[in-house]
Amino acid sequence: MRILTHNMLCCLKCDSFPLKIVAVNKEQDEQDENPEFIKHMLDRLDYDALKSAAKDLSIEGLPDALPENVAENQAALTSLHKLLLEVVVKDGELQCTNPACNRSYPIKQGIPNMVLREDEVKIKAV
Amino acid sequence: MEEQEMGAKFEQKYVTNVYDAIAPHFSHTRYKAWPFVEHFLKNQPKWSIVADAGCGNGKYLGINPDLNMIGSDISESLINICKNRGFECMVSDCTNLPYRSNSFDVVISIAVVHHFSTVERRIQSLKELLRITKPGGKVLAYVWAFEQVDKKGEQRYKEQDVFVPWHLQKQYKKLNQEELPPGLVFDRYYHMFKQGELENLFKKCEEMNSIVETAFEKDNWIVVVDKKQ
Repeated sequence: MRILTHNMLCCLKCDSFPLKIVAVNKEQDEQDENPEFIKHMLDRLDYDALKSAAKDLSIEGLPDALPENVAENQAALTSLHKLLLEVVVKDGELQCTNPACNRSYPIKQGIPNMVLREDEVKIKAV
Repeated sequence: MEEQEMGAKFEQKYVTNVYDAIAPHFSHTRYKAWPFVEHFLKNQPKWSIVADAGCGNGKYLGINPDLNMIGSDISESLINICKNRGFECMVSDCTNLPYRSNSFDVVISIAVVHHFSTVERRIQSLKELLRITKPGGKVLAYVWAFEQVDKKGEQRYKEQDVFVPWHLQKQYKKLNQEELPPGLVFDRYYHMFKQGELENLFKKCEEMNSIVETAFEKDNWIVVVDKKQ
């Protein structure tokens, strides 16, 4: 699972977003730098959720608030490159951080399982 | 048991379990992209984020490398095939998608809605597609048409709700697969859509703005809609 995907996911039971990433096994998939891609992705993604993913995966260097011109901020670009293009979570889980819910979703061999059990489908945690 | 719950159980038996059993064989026959879908995906702006809800073996996930496509399917066997092909994907249910609202530029549903066994579940799946789409974004849905004809030019299906057999070839039989059906013939449930039927279901979705395009291609109905701003 890549972090772009994580940026889209929310809890099926209570809609909590973002989910906390607990990575037991992750990989680094080396990619060429692509500042234009990063810039376009920031327009489309949720920045707070990117920061949350970076924290979960111990990737440092993301500014607290998104800089106005990220293309000129090399430190931010380097972190975002690692976060969006290189990190792949292979095994672990995605945890809902709502204390009233606490549902977790397993990730196995890079595949999150985002299906509720039959008895969970109708019960929405508030 | 409630109707929705019965519908879900029925689909588990006649759709999900069948795809899980036939996945490698099915995947081997599903390599060709439908021209309408291919054209649609190749004409989206670079780096659009696209959800393929019910992505099967992932035949559209790599069709345009300039897009960020994420696939999901209820069949774990099909998702394993997607992952082995290097695609971003997850196991999920198209009536309850695990994505936040208003997040995708484009959402596609190819050969999925015809597998839902009640009108309510078909509408629920369309509502989910619209929910995860950004305001103004597009949704494309593709379903089998009732109006298809056989080689003699005669109506192929006499009823809208039918079982379509899948003849599993022996070499695709999994070794430990128990309870194989007689003659390795699996029944898959389909609801064949009549002209206008899919549009009418979309019209019941509050988040839909308008129907952008309707087409008939290779025995399928295709509807493209946009979401309200």
